[in-house]
Amino acid sequence: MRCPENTVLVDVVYGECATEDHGRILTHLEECQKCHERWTRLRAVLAAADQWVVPSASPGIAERALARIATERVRRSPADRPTIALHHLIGSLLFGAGAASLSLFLLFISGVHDQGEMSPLIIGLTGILWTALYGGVTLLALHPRYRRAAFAALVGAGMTMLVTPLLSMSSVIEASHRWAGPAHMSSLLDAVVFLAGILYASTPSFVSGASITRAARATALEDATWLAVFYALLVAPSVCLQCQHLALHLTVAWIAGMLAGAFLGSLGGVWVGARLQMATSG
Amino acid sequence: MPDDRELMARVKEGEQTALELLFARWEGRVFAFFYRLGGPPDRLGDLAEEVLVSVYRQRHRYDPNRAFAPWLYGIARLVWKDHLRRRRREEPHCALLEFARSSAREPGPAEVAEGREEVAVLRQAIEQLPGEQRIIFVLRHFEGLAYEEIAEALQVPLGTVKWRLHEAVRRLEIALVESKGGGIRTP
Repeated sequence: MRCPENTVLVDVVYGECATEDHGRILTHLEECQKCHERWTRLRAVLAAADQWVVPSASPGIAERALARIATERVRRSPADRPTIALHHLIGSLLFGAGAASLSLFLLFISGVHDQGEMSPLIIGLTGILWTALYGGVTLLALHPRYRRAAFAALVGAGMTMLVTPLLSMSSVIEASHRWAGPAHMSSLLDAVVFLAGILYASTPSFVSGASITRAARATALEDATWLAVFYALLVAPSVCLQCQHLALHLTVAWIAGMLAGAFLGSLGGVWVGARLQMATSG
Repeated sequence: MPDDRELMARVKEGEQTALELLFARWEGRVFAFFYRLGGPPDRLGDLAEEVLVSVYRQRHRYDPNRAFAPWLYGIARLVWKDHLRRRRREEPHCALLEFARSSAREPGPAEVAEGREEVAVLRQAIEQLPGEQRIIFVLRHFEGLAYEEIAEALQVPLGTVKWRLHEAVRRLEIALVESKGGGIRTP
């Protein structure tokens, strides 16, 4: 066996060497005088470090920490208290207004107005609602607990809206009609629309969840749930506008499919994100 | 005796006794961690207290499927870096003075009398290690964290942990050899 490098000897000392290598290296150390001396020198250094005695901890550390926590529980500390700075509020609203305008524009170029006339009042109210939703989720992204899910939901909703002109709900439902056959059996059509809704929502939820959340496994379910909720809220105005001229059973099937897809996609995406996190940190 | 993960799970549920038990178990170790990093003696208690309070504040971020120690030392490292940053800002000359004091420090009479010159030299050498090397050496050698746990605590690749630890040990070895004029007393 060749003489091991010093780095390998350090790994052996700390038990970080593979078991089979460990035995071979120890055998080598007994046979090789030079390596034995290096080994002894290394052990001496670490043994000297072991002799370093730490004084007793100053008394009352835990008690002081507990007292601070008790005080914070009674009167929540400024760090824990949810406060919204004015510039965050204004920034979120501006972002919300911009995102809402873009979303409405994308809806219109997707041909939503071709399905039936929409009054300016409905458009205006939708714009206000969408601004509030985008702005609200953007504000939530400032909160540590919801940050990952809110960012992912914004990205997922953005992806959905960008795809809308190419793949609008009406085109998907028309395709479902064709696929369900000439009989247009209501239950079969509903099932196809439901599955299409799952696919429609799960894809952006999955991609945004996997690429952005990087959640810990313990919080994966919570993150996925919030991601699904935020995503569903953000795309709700688009779904409402596109569904307003659809038959009720198709609307129900589509919304149920989208909700299921948002949750399943988010869960899968967050799970993959957690696995990626483990792989990259390991 | 419940382990740290179990205690943290109970802390998350709001159990006060679990929090007290966890803090009592860790206050000494966190204090020793900062002591070995070279923290100022009059601030060690405050730093350890800050870590314990942060553990409570961030309890919802802890994943009970993972080891507790790396997570806690990840917080402790942030508290340490924050302390260094604040000290540099408040007392720009402080680090330089401390370095000069540390470089000039000879083994104390008690250490010499007890035949602990090597310990004094080692201590001084550890204090002079670059920041991350010092943290990694302390976590591996004194706190007994595995390489992977250190990588998790510091959020750095495993190879970086190994390289920095090897470099730290090499520097300590050189310091001890130089202090003995080329030879080391074997244990």
